[in-house]
Amino acid sequence: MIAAAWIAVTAALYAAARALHRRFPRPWLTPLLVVPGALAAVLLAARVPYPGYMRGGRLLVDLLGPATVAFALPLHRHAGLLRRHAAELCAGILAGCAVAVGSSFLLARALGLGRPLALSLAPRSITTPFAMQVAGDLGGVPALAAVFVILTAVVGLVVGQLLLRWLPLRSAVARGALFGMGAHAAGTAQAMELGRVEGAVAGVVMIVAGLGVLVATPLLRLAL
Amino acid sequence: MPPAVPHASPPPATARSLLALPLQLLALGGFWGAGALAARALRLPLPGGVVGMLLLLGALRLGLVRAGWLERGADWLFRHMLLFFIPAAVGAIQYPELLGGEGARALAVVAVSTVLVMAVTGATVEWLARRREEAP
Repeated sequence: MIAAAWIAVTAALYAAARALHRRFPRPWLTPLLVVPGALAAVLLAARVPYPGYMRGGRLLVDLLGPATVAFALPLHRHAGLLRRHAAELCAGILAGCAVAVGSSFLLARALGLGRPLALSLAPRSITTPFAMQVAGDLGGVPALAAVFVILTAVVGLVVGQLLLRWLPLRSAVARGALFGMGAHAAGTAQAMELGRVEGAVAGVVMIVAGLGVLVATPLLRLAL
Repeated sequence: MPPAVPHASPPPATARSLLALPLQLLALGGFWGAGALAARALRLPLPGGVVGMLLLLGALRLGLVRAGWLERGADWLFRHMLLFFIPAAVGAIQYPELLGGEGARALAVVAVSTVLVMAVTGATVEWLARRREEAP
């Protein structure tokens, strides 16, 4: 009953934030920033503990499973295009993964953050289930990795929209790869708004980057 | 898919078209469940959603499933994917220590690194795509 109420509140706030973002398309008005901010204020003011909220919220998070499955459709539809651009995309993913893991770890250490925190930051560019596993294998904290993945999603939506204005990216493949690599599934959702090709590319990039970092974990354990 | 009978646009909302979305979502959820079971049975280090996606992709490639059967459900999930992230983002309230100095430094890492990742990825793909275009 209360669980259903939290779903309803979340969905209503999301609908309002989405309408607001459509009316005023500013990067910082993304629903992923506005709605969690509003909900956090409500929960803290009403002294509702997070697990209480999550009894309903869990059901919304679970929809990411079917959403991941659904990527089979754009992969299937754009199989020819993806095969044609396979070389560019592989190069972009390889460069992106190296910069993501390397810069996260090195910047964290340079700023004096502890090793467990730096290792929890390392896989922050890949989608949550992969990132939690990689962080755990590297000696980081999976729960913190999940927080950093979400933080990356929020930052990535804002940064990505700004970079699209500043970088002269003509090809839809490059725009999709930027969002899929930089901000995993949230970036992919954003890329879907740009166009079907962008969305399909972002989905592929997100999944391949996740698999790539997962497979590279033994190497990362030696390097980091 | 609309019925083969010609009709004036837009088509009337039949019980069938109203049921299409929930049924398609249920079917996508079924692939997710099957993927999760397969991942556990085979001890794959992959999330159930990814295994389910590979199963559905295989079924589509083999022609066992037609894209039109699941299109509406997939579009709905893609359109509202940000909604599914919101509860996890609210979870940040569990880590009030991230509001302190360590959190500020972690946020700086995420921000700088994300700019680098996105710029490098976008530029790499764009550069290679242009080179191919310009090649004879």
